[in-house]
Parts: sequence; structure tokens; C-alpha cells
Amino acid sequence: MSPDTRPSLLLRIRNAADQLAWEEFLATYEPTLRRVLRSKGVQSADADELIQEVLLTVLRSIPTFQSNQRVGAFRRWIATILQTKLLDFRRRQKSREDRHLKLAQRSHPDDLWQVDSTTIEDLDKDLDLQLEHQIFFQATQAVRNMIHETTWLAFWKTEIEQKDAMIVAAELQLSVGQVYVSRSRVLAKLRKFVAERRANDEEVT
Amino acid sequence: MIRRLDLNPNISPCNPKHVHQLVEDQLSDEQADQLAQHLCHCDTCRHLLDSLQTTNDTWNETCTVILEEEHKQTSTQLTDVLLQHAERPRLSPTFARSVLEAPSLPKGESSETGDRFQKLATEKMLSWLKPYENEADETEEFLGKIDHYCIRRVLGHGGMGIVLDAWDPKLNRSIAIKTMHPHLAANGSARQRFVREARAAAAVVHANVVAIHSVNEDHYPPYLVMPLIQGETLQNRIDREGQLDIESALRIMSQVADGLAAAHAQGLIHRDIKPANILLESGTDRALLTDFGVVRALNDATMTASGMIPGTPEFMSPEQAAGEILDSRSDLFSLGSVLYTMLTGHSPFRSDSPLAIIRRVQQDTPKPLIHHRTDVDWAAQSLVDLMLCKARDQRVNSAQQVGQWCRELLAHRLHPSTVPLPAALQTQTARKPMGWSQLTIVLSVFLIGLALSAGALWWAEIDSSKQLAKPLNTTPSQSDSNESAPSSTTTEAPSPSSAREIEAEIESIERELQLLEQQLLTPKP
Repeated sequence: MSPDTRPSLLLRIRNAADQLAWEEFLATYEPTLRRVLRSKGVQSADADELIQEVLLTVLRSIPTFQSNQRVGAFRRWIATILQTKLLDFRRRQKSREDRHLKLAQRSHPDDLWQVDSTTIEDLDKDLDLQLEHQIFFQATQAVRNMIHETTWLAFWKTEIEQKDAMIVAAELQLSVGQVYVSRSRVLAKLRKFVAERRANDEEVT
Repeated sequence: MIRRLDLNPNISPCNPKHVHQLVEDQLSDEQADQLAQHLCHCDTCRHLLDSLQTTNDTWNETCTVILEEEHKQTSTQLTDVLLQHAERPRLSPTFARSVLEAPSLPKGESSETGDRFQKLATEKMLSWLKPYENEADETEEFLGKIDHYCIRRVLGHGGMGIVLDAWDPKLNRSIAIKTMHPHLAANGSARQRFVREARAAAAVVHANVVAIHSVNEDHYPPYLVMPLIQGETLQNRIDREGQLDIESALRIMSQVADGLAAAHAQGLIHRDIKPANILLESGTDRALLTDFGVVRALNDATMTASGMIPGTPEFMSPEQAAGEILDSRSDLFSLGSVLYTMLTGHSPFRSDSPLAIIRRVQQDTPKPLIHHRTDVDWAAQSLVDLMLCKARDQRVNSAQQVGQWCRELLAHRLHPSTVPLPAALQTQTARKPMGWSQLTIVLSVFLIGLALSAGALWWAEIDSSKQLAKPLNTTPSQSDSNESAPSSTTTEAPSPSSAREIEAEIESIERELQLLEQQLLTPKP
């Protein structure tokens, strides 16, 4: 899985025949987009719809995407698409709301909706953060199979579930030192996986 | 050095370089083993290691995401199965909605496969239970154990955790156990808050508050032990029956208010008062308030950086929706929403998105009760108004007062001639008899009615003059029947029978108008 053996995801999804690349893209971006939308207060059903729209747009316009060779250009491009769709969605929602409220003849301030406040930079930052989370999650899925079950559990319980090392040691019948070492080794492997994936995914040449 | 190592193989010398190498994953297995042994005894190196791996907020968030995704992966299919096959009565005999509200389970036909799937899902959900070793004299079958409690079945599960029907063999009684979802319990601060709030709630001892027998925080996930209440939630009852009769509503409200008053006296704010958190014991008329403070623990675990609110905000107070610091009066607003819901069959602030609900909570005045039923008196409306005051200093100021008024209203309804209405509710009525919109409607209905009756009178006059021109014997029954009508048969007034007809006509027009008006005011789905 090193950068030189694995062509950039972007290059691969440009190739319409590479179904696997698209699936990989979906596995990474779908949950990422979902969490970004959730953090923007979009309800789950609406998020489904929005994600569909964004992904379809990506699929349709990927052949015309022109990279400016900068790191993160691809992500920023997705952020731009997301912003457009989000704005459309909020306008739709707002006009629907207005129609409802008109019936009751009430006026209301616009501040709750902040229709024009979500900038591309803002979304790009959110995407970046959530991508990091997502890739870490994918790393746990990948690394788990490479190491011993007990080592994995020692990491999982102390680091992810944030339980006390002493308790975990007793549970797994390990020494505290072994728990510490296991955790550190798994963490290192995860970090390595994430660093490689991110470098690779952002490579656009 | 070697000597010391020989003397005590457990204490090897510190080697910070190895610690750094461990973090970089550059140690051989053998070196790692040695370091592991060393770390068992050396606090300094453990601290060094911790400091090299200090976690920041981003990493903590990553951990939460990983847990969520992991949970999703293992539970998605199971949830699907549950949603398709869950059999409502089986999953929600007692606590029902209070735990089911998050993923509300639709009714599904019960089938053998459904049963099997459900059993499978339950088993998976409770994989952390201790296995139950069947003892010789036991005839009952249990799913497993939590500490010494034997788990019979799952009563329900939702956003916060799972509620279990269990048997306490030490005290020989049935109990309910509420656990946190393991994936939520993994969040340290949520876990602490769950326990802290449970302790506070345990201090409230009142007939109308579900008691907390004990809380175990050392168990993973932590859990509460509560009495098993046979019955249903108020939400279930409203779902089933629609609006309640006023007497029942007042009876339930007075009890819940009393329970809440006891909690407020302890300085505890409920924060999540809603029909799903009110249990109605079957057989008796008892109403009990449950789930104190749980919402705060839930907030800790599920609130995102953007402050997204879990669950529906329908029963929130305006100050809660605005994210302000709360006091007990916030609960009174929510209680007002519950009263409104009991009297009308639906919550006062409804809309299709949480954000829209929040806006309605903050800005809208709910439609007067009279729009939903005709048997309410103004005193009940005044009570609801006083509880649903947006400004908290104008709101009714204690749960005790609410309970008191409910009992007085009830007494007045049962014995109108001997028990007067509470004075405060009467003055409220005098000050604000009805909303402007309602006044307008009533006035317009009256005016239209007046115009129509005038028109009808005029028409009747022409009609009767026509009739007068005809031979008398052709219209015998009209004038001769029932009423002998000795008095005014002047030309100004129509005959009594035609007046009755006109009255009836006006009445039917008024009814139609009311219907039309209701249709107009009910927001279209």
C-alpha cells in the first residue's frame, strides 16, 4: 500500500472502468460527507438525498476536473460541489418553510437559516477533519487483521474505549507493560497507514 | 547494571531511546517484550510514553467516530432486521416509547422468522452479558446476567441504552435495568454524567417518581436498577386513544407535577419532560416521572461540535432551545406542552424539521385548546397559557403550584357548585379572554351569521307574502302544527316555524364555517 505501487485514487476513479476505485471512493467519502452534513445540522433523510446529488455530480464531472497540482485540490473541488448543493437545499427548505409559515401569517428572522454563511473554506476544513477520522477508521479495519487479537484488544480498549490500562490488563490477562506496548505498536501502524493513504489520495499528478 | 538485572530480573534500567523507538514502531519483538517488562514497574517510562502519545481533541473525536462507525457496522444489519420484524407489544410492554423513541419500531406482523431474527438481534446486542448458568432448581430461562441480576428479556432500546426486564434473586423481585449503550459508555464524560445524574435522581423519593434502587458504575457498561412498572407510557396512551378526557389529563398532570416538585426541591432539573418519560401504571391511576438527567449524559456523548440536539425538540422550553442555562421553570414549560398534548392529542409545536420546531417553540403561540375540543373551560386554557409563557418570569413559578391548580380544577369540574375555580386562573381569564386571531374569527362568524340571517329573514318574508296570496288550505301544516302561536303574527316577524327553520339553517352554516376554518388552520402535511 505504498504510494508508488498504488496509483492515486483520483486517477483511478477517472477511469470509468475501474469499479473498485469508485467503490473505494464511496467507502471513504460517503460517511465523511454524512458527518460533515450532520455537523451542519442536516437531518439524516435530507443528508441521504444531498450525498446522492454530490456523488452524482462528482461522477459526472470527474473527467473535466482540472487539478491545479496543489495538495488537497481534489478535496476542495468536492467542497465546492458540496457547498453548491447545500445552498440549493437550504433555499428549497427555506421556501418550503416560508410557505408553511405564510399560512399562519407569521414573519420570522432569517438568522436561523444562515443561508449564505457556509463557505467553501469552512466545508473544506470540515471535509479534511472528517476524512482524517474516516481514514483512521479504515485503518483500524485494515490493521486489525494484520495483528494478534489480544494485541488489538489491548489497543482498542485503552485507546478507543479509554479504559484504564490496569483494568484492561486484568481483563486480557496481560501485564500492564504489555498493554502499553501493544497500544503503542498498534497506534504506530495506524498512523503509518493513515499517512500513506492521505499522501496517496491527495496526489494529483 | 548487569548485576542488578541479575539480582532482580523485573527491574531493568530505563532506556528512553527504546520508548521513542516503540512509538515509531522500530523495536524488534524481543526488544518490545523487554520494554513491556520494564514498563510494568517503571512509572517514569510509562509517563514518558504517555507524554509522547498525548491525545488532543481531534484524536478524541477520531476515537468517537471510530466507535460510531464500528457500532454502525455491527448493528446496521441487526437494526434493519429489528425494524422489519420487531413485534411492538413484545418490545415495549412497560417503558416502551421512553426507550424506543429514537428508532421507533414500526408494527410488523409477527412470524417465526421475525421471532428468530429478533432473538438473534437481541443476543447480538447483549453480547456483553455474562452467560447464565442454569441452576438445577431454576425453571425460568434467562438471557444472561449482569452482576447477580438475571436478565429475562429486552423491554426496549433506543438512543441512550437498553432497558431490560430482570430478576433480582437476592431480593426475590422483578426489576428493570437500564444500561448505557456500550458505545456511549465508552465516552468517559458521558459515563460519569450518567452515574452522577443517577445519583442525584436517586435522592428523589416520591410516589410519582420512578425510584432508583442502585447504580453500578464499575460495571461496563454502567447501569441503573429501577422497579419494574407494569403499564405503558403516556405517549403510548395518547398514540392509542388520542386526546384524553379532561379529568384524566388533570389527574395525571397533578401527579407528575407533584413528582417534579419533589425533584425540584432537591435542586434537580429534569430537562427532558415529555409524554414518553411519563409512565402510567396499569391497574392503578398512578403516573410516574422517569429518566431524570439522562438527557445530559446523552448530550455529552452525542453532541457534536456544532451543538446538534439529539432527539426531538418538541417538548423543549424556549430557553432550552436557545441553549441558555436552565432552571426549574424550563421543566414547567415542558410540562405545559405535555398538558397541551394530553388535551389535544398532539404536541403544541409541530413541524417537519427539528429546526422549524425550535423556531415554533421560541416564537409561536399554540392554537387555543377550544380549537381542538369544545369541553375545555377557560381556566384550563389559562393554566396552559401560564405554563407555556415564553418569558420565564411570567410563567407559573413552581411545579407545586401546577399540581395544586390541577387538583382545584378537577374538584371544580366534579362539583362546580361547591368548589370555586382557582382565583389566579380566573383573573388570567379576565385579563386575556381570547387571542386576537380567535376574536377575529368569532366576530367574523358572528357577522356572517348575522348577514345570512338577515338575508334569510328577508327571503322568508317574500316567501310568506307569496304564501299569503295563495289559498289558505294549500299550506295547512306549516302554520297549524305543534305551536299554537297566539301572539305576534305581524308582517315584520316570520311565523315561528319558519324562524326555527332559519335558526337551524344559521346553525348549520355556522357549523360549516367552523369546519372550513379548522381545515384552513390545520397545516397541510
